[in-house]
Amino acid sequence: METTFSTFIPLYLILIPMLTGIVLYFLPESKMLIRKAVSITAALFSLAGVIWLLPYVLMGEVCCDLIEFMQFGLYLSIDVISWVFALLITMAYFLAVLFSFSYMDHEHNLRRYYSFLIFTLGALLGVVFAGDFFSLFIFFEIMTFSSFVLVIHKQDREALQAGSLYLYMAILGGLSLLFAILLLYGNTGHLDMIPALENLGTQRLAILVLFMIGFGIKAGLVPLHIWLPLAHPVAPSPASALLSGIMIKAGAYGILRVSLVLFRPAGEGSTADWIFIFNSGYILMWIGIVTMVAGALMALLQSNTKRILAYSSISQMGYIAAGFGVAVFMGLEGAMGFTGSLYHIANHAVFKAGLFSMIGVVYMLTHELDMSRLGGMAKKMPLVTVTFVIAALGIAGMPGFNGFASKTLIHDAMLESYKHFDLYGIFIAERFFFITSALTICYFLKLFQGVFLGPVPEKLDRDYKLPISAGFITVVFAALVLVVGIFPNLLLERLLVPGAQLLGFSDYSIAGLYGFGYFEWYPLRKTLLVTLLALFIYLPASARGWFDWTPPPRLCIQRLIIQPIPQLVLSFFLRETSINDMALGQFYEHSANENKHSDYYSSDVDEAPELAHDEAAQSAYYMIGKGLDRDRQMREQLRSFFWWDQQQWNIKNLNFDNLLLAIVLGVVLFIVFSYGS
Amino acid sequence: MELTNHFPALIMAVLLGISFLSPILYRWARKASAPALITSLSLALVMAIYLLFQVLQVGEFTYYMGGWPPPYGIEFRLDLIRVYMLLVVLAVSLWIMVYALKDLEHELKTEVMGWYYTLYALVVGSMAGIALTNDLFNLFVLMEICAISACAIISVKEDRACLEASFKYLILSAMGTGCFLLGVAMIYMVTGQMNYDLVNAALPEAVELYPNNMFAASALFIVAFGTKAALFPLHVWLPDAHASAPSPSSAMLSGLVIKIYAFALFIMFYQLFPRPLLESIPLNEILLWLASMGIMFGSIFAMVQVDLKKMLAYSSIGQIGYVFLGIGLDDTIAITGGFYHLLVHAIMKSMLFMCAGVIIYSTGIRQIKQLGGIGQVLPITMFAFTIGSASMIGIPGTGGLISKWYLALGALEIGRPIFVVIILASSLLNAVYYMPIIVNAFMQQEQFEYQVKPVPRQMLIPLFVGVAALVFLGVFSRPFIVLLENAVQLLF
Repeated sequence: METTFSTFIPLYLILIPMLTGIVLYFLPESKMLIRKAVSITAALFSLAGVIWLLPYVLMGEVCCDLIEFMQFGLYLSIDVISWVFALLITMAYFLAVLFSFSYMDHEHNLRRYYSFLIFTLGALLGVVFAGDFFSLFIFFEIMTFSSFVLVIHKQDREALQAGSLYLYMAILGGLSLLFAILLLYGNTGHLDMIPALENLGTQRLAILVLFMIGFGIKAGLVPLHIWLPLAHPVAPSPASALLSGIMIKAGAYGILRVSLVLFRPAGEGSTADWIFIFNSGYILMWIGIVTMVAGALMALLQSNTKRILAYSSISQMGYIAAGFGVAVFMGLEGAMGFTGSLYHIANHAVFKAGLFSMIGVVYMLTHELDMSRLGGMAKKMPLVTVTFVIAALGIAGMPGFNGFASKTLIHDAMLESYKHFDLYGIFIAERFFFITSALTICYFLKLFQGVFLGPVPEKLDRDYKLPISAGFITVVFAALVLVVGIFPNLLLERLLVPGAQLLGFSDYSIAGLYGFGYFEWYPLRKTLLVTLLALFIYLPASARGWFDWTPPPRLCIQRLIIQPIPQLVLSFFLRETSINDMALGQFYEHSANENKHSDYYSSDVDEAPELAHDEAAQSAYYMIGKGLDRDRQMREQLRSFFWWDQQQWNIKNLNFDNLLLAIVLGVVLFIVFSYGS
Repeated sequence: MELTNHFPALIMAVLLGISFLSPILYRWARKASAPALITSLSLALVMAIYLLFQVLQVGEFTYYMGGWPPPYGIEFRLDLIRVYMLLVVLAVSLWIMVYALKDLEHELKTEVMGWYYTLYALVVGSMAGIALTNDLFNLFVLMEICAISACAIISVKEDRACLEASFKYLILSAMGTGCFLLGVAMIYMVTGQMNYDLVNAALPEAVELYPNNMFAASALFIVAFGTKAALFPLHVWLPDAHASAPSPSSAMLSGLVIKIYAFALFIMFYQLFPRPLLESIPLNEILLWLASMGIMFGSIFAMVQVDLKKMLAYSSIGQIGYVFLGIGLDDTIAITGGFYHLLVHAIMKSMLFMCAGVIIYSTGIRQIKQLGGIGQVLPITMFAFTIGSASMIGIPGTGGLISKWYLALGALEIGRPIFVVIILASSLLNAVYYMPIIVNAFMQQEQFEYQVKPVPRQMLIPLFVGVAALVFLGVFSRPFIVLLENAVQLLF
């Protein structure tokens, strides 16, 4: 099991897409065919390379060490867990590049799009191949910046605003990661991904929180998700599919490596260590629960199809975080929560990328994203409708579709931990999980009804011709959903259980995963109950139009918190500088006047100094005036610095949800702490 | 007598000599004047490289000007850190001059070009001297030369803003030099020496007899060098001076001139003052907080600027804070980071000013707002601007990350994580003001609407060199770091 293969293959897998991306940028705009061929070849190459690595990964670990690169050397290592992520990335990339061929044909600036698309593939593979935190950080940053170009591809005002929020949040996350890495290095003297809880000393809470902020921003955990519902919908659909399906998983990957690898005791671990682990896992689970409920609630209130999917991604990331949380606080018994989450990561990548592609196909043909102006597409696009239903059943967790396989595992892990610890909090969390599953069904019913059912609007009443490549990829996504759903144990036993073994979970907890009974009465009964609850919510609510409710704009968090605080801080600093500037001017003026006085007494004869000092005083006055001018100018600039237009504040594109979620998070954490202690 | 033995003096002699020759050459052999300046700068650089190898081989050594040993003669001291500083000064100034040859034709009147070369060579020569000298009075003289010629390379443009800015600079910098002279007088009063080593040897005794003298001297030194290096509350002259000067002068002033004073202060702290004195007065503590405030304030001022060059100038106030932070943290790793930042910032800030210069040369635009879509017409320039900004923010792959990394590690080493927070927060602020420019330049939908003059290759090649240097410093930083660590360790 513990064989280590040293090879440069991982480096090539990272570098070749990156170099291809750079080369593509210099290919003239007109050579479209070559561009497509090169990009698909690069994607296929990575896919093949990753699959080729499988036997080695199952036998042990594939490593690559470059000592001379940057300050700490670049260290790559691939184990089963990284490999699962790498497979998802390359597979989704292959399909997304294929989808781009038809989707992007009428778009502008394809040179930049393809170049950055392929470049990001290399960076993403780098993130999951990284063997220490410094390498991880480097690739994480590269990925952030290259995917930014994909987000703002449309280059209109909306895209630029969403992109700038994305960029600043991502830079904030990157800096918080850097801080965490610095503290880690300062305390342990190394950056390897190995259990090191004992060596982290008193700063371990700070390190954990900083890591969680850094990765949580990328993963879209509440309350750090504010960029996600803005940025994912504005990107072109293939890029949205990758952003939602793959890139937020980079955050989940980081959370996995930190919470389940780094924050584990290297030896036996003292009681205090295990209490710390329990608390951190318990809080992570609750953050996950809050994220899933809030994401689902916000998804219900949207009318933009892609924004529903973006909020749905937040909600599904909540499932993943909750599963990891359970795995963390169960300690050595947490194999089920871990495999459940890893499984859900894989499944979510498939169905969310698929759903974005299908909605993308609808958008490509109709140029319409708003559900109020869509409808009846079932008659116009039967193939897309069928695949959409399959993917939606997958995300809703219906038996026979892939979401069922992972959600059941996470749910069972929660129940198991409830039995193990007998904490009432976990019981409540399990209820929330139950409700969220129902809400998931509700918003997909809403989405399906809005897009595919009902009368066809007059404007869209024409024949649509589905491009072959687009049809092909939707079918592939649906097929993946079905295959995994019908044989849920296959993937679990072959890939995920070896992953769980790597993390050192106890044999007892792993044994329960072999031959896991998916199609038994208990999980099926749960699904039935969830479906009934969903219908119970959906039918009256949609009849009365509750889903169209818009929260009042004055609750918008942008207006309440995000705008005033930086403005106050900045104007304080600016006030200081103007005082400084003017003080200097006054100093000049005073000294000139004083000199004048002294000269007046000392030299009655000579008028020249007096004149000179008069002049000096005048220019000092001038300088004070200039200081005032500059002060005013800076203030004006500051005002224009905030890009939120007061008139255009509209709740559908802003973050009322933040406030709501912050309150929810506060209440929940309060409950957790009062129950937990 | 071996010629190589006199390289320390020859470096200065060559530079000061060319400064006298330049106007004559410009008058009678106009074509030869620019190559002559470039040649002498390269000659100085080659000599400095030779000195580096010599120091690496035989360790630190001293050079007596004219063969007169101290206390009567002037002594130059060559240790690793000083030679490092010398190399940075000469290499960066040569690089800026290559760019300046074309840019100046556009910014200056033809008849003052020869004088500009004179002033430039004077600035570089005096900075080389400040890096090497081991004598307080010699330092004072060189500082005066540097200050006056630095003022002159601002006012050489002869428009109202330049004259006003250089006047402001002149006054404050004269105040700084005055403080320095007073401080030197205080030290001379109690020790009777000017040479660093002799002063250092005499000080422990003198401190006990006349403590107030030494307190006053150290306060005066902080004010003197703080004013000249634009340490936070004394920075008021910098934005105007650096923004209104011709672009090569801005690059020179922001990239090198403020750093040489930070370096001089560092030498005062670690080679002139005895350690007990440094520990009895919280000099480092003062420096730390001023530097931190400078980092934050500088970044925030930069955010609200409308003028591109003014923004870059304010950003320099923040960045010089990093160097002072390294000095103030008083830890080998942090000082290494500070000095690495000195090199990285010299390159990136000079490069950004060059980019601004190219933009002004080609389109005449100075306002940030008007830069939307400029990436399509000046792709190479804006690419260089992007790399420079990335390094400012500290994105992996550029030198900025490495220096921040070492500074932060140093702060953690002495157990002050608050400074890590300040470093990282200022990185975020840097992103806030650099990123919109890049995004607007490349991602703006509207076409660029101003007239564009083609940019000569001679201005673009230095930008390429800068980009390559920044990436090289970011990826293969190890040899530099090892060199600096050795250099700094010698001082403790």
